[in-house]
Amino acid sequence: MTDTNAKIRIDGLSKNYGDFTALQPTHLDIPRGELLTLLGPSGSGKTTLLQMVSGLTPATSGRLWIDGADWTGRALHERGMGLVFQHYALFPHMTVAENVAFPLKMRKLPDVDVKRRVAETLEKVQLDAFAHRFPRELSGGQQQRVALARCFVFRPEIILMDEPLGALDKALRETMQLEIRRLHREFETTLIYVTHDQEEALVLSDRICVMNHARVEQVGTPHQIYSDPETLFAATFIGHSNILKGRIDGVANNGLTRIATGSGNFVGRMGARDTEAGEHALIVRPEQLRLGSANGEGMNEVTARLRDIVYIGSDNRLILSLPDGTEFNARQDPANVSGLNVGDEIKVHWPIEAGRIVS
Amino acid sequence: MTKTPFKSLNRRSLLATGAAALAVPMLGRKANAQVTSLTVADPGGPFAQGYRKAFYDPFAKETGIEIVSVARDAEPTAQFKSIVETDSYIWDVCTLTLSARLILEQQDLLDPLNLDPALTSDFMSGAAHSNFLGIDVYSSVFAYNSEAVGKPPSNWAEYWDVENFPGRRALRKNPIDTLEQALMADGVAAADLYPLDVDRAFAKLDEIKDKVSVWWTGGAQTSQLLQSGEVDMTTGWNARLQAAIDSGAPAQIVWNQGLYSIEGWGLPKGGPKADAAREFVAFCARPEQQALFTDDLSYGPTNLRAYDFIDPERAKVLTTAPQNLEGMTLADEAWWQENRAEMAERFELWLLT
Amino acid sequence: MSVAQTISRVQSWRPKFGPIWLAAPALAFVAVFLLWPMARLIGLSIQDADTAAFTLDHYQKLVDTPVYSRILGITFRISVLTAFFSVLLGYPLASWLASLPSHKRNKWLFLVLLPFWTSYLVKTFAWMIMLGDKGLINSILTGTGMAEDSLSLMYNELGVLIGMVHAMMPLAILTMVPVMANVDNRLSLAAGSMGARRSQRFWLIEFPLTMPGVAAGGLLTFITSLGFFIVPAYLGGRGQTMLAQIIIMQVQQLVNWAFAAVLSVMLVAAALVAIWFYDRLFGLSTLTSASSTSGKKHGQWLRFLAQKVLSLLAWLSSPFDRLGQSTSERRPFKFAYVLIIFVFLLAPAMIVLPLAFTSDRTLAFPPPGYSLRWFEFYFNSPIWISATIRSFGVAFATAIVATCLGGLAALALARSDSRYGKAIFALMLAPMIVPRIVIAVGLFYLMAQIGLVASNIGLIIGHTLLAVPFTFITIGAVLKGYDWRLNDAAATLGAGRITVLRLITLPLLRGGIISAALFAFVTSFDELTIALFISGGLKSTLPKQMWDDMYLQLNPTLAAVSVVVLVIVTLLLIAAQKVQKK
Repeated sequence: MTDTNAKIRIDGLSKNYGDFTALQPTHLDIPRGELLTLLGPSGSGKTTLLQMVSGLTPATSGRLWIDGADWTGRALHERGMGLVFQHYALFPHMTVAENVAFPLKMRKLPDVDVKRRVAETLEKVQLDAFAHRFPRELSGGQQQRVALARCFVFRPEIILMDEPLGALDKALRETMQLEIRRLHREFETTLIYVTHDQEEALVLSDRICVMNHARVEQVGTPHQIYSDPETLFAATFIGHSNILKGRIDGVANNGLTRIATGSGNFVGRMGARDTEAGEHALIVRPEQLRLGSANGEGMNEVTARLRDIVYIGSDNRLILSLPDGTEFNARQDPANVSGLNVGDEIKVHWPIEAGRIVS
Repeated sequence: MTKTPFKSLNRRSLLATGAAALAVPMLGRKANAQVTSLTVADPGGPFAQGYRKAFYDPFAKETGIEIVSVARDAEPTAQFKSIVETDSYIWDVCTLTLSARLILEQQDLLDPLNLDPALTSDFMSGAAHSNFLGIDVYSSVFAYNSEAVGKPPSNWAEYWDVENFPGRRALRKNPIDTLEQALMADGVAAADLYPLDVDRAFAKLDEIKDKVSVWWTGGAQTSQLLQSGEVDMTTGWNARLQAAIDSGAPAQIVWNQGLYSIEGWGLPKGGPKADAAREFVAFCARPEQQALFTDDLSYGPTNLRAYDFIDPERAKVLTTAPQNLEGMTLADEAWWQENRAEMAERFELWLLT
Repeated sequence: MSVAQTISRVQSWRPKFGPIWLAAPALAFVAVFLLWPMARLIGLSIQDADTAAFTLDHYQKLVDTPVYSRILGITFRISVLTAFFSVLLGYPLASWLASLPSHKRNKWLFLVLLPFWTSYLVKTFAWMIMLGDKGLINSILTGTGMAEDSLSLMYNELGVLIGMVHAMMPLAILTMVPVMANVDNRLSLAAGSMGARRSQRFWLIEFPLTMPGVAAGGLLTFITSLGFFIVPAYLGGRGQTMLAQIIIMQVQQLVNWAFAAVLSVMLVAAALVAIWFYDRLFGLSTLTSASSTSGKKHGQWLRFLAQKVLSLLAWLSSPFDRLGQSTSERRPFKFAYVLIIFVFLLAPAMIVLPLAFTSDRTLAFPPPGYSLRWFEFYFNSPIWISATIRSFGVAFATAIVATCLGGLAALALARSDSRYGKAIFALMLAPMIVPRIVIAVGLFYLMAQIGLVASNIGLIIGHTLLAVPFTFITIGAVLKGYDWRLNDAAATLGAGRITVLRLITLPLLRGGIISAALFAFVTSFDELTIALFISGGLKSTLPKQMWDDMYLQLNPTLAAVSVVVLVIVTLLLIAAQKVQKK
């Protein structure tokens, strides 16, 4: 932990409520200008972590460093961070313009500047026509844009967002995700974003911090986490995974690890921080599976029964049953599927480097 | 809105119509030839208790006619009117104040009592009328706390003199009695009180206005004021003041310059049980019966011969004991009848300015 | 039976007139027993007493006689001050209650409800014992040397205000709490994250959002205060005469109906002016809804002015930001304040309790010894017992009638989007808005003509009139949360209308209906003003008997009766809470 470039350094922050642990001691460095997503199911501790950074919740232990200074005990209103909540937290008794002007007024900016910056920001989120409406007169997407404008208007160096798009429908959510990316780039802020939606995390993030059971499972770029999940949880929470449970059965000659499962022995890459003891699982992404027998080295192969073919738009999904009953999914171009019937015995294979062994 | 109802239903008669209907179920009683019970309206509370012992139970024992007692309003004139006008005699006998008697007599709503004059020969003056038999006498006087007041006032002039007779004082928040007290404090002789010289009374009241700690509204308040030590002296009705003394308050009543009035029986005109009712009223004239209620009520009996049957110690606290009655005057109900509304208004204004 | 058949049957059951007609009985009731008497009073006030000719003489008298404009002024002043202090002092407590989780809040709210439902007589009576020159508070002050001489706490405006604020603060709190609980406290945190300090957060965010509750609390306490007569009569001095006292005097002593009517019209006018202002500023519908965001939109200048004032207040209070800031979880100042207000609210009951068990004949406090003699006296006194029985009977009947009328009216409004909805709503709340004393005078006039004075039915009608707004609001609130699709679901499964009502609707609304009935019961059980006029001296209810006793003989019986009443009301409130929880 010597990276002095970190804008935010989370240095062992933890939170207990009596006997209940909301967050185990957590270490995390967030460089200036990064968009980091805290991703995890509810109860994973991601919101707790965010609230400790924002100052809404005092930490049980640990310190928070911003630009190398200790901010652990700073009062909420002195932190100058921008917060966006899932419920928007728009002041219902103020107009859109008044809401957006609020943080500027708190900073005692001259009225002229306030007016100018409010107008500018509202224009950026395409709400200039709604400046004198009240929040309740706006749609959900518009309300969220007000919340974003109110946050970005005072150019905070750090912005924290807690599931800000959770209440919106899918189409609107996707538009807003792009909007947030654009604003983030434009204002060059450091942004921590909490979500339980893996797709959203993949779209938005520079890095993703996967959390579960009050602790961090894995931190990395979306690509790293997708292709190299370090834990079973990280593997299953992001993207579809086929899971084969088994035991480690020594190291293969090419340096990869052998695993014995109920449907046969396979080879895969060992996860970064895994030991060989105990239960393990082989993870294979559905798009890695190919139909037919393996021709050549470096492939795992298995025979399976085709249970169903599901049309999902661009691809077809094949639902397969392995010998030990494990369900496998394979994504295939519709062209490859013609001629297959439900109930057929078929062979599938995948490159051994594509398989990942985690505990 | 039609006009006629207001012609016929002005003022009291309005209430009359109302109370009339509630009495309908009682009508059947009129048919009873043999009277077995009388309904008597009294002020309720301790009165009901005292009267039962003195009159109701002994009368029932002697005649076999049971007395049912009900509590009546402070001024039952409206009910009386409705009883007579709608021919629904829910009460056979009712206690009336002298002021109520006056109103009812003017409207011809009272039955004559036809009392044997011998029965009332020992009555105090003003107590026996042809349609009204006074039973008890109450008086508006003042009392002081004998522990707190070193030098007690002995008349209204001294009550007004806050310099020489210091102490927290209370007066009634009502012009009745208070105006008379002010005039007597200003030196008007009791005999010359009526008609009241109102301007003079208010001028005298001005003197004490800001020195009055409490303006009381209900009789029970005066007992409480004395008992709790809230004030050192207060005006009030003798029985309420006596109640404080009986409860252990170290207080003394000053009878001098008191204003007394009389409460007694009257009969609604044309009642079906008028004869039995008259019999009951005559029974109440007996001195030995009257003496009995003084055990519970510290009001004076109207039949002065009742004192033959009353313990001299007890007599000291009764209105009509000769030594108390001596310095007192009968309040003039007729004057108040005439001027009450106007006085109430003027008094309120005076209080507020 | 096929689905199609079932549906056609369901449709054929539709009544020929809309559900809005369910409000008809309640509306008729209010019209006959409130609007008609009001109209009669207005009529009386502009008619000559003897000739019934049109005249403005009575109003002329009001103008010509300075005493009445003065009393009107006093009444206004005391009511405004009472409303102001009730809201001001009650606000922190209400905000504390609103911040509690709901199960805890209900427990503490109980301590607010208890003094709310304690009769004014009991409360006033207890204050008399506490505030006197030799009273409890002065004994403590002089005894401990905190004051050299007794303070004048009673028989002046201070005494009246103490008594009235005590009586009205629970109403203010109960009105404010739901609004405050509905304010999203995350908004204040959001403002904090944007740089707002404590004072700014309070004045710019929290306070404006609770404003509808504050205003509703102020309005209700103001209107209720207008009709007070017990407190000023017993705790006031010569300068504190209120209009209601004069109205009672005009009716009962001077029998001047026309002038009583004029004064009543004045009281109602004062209430209507207050309501008009409220409607302009907040919108009437906010009176019963807990939402802080609905309501009126205001003109620019008004908003601008309000914002400037609030900014100024925030600036003025900013020096106090540090108080309690360091310990954000525990706020010793707030806690101490909450404690003090609770002591203030509960003190009268605490005083009456030991007095009821005194062995003495006086109301000396603390009692020299303890006994049950006053309870014995109460239970052996036919007068008290018959008054108690009558009160129970009348309250029971009131609970049933008011619940039926109010419930049907609430059902009508919930099931219909008639354009008369707003008018019906206003009419149903009218008995709450017209000062009680005026309702009582108007009813007395009407009942005297139709022969219901001094009858139990007259009392039940009067009490039902007062209780109907309560039942209407309570049942209306549960109906808001009721899922009407359940009825359709039951109907498609073959249940008839009555069956649906019996097996689906009523069981689901049971809690609301029972608590509405209990509130109606307590309203009646505790009611004095109507009883004062309608009981006619013959049909005394318990509060009327207590009033008479307070006038005739102040002794510990009153304390004993108060305790009995207190116990009954407490049991009913506990029952209501239990039922609401389910």
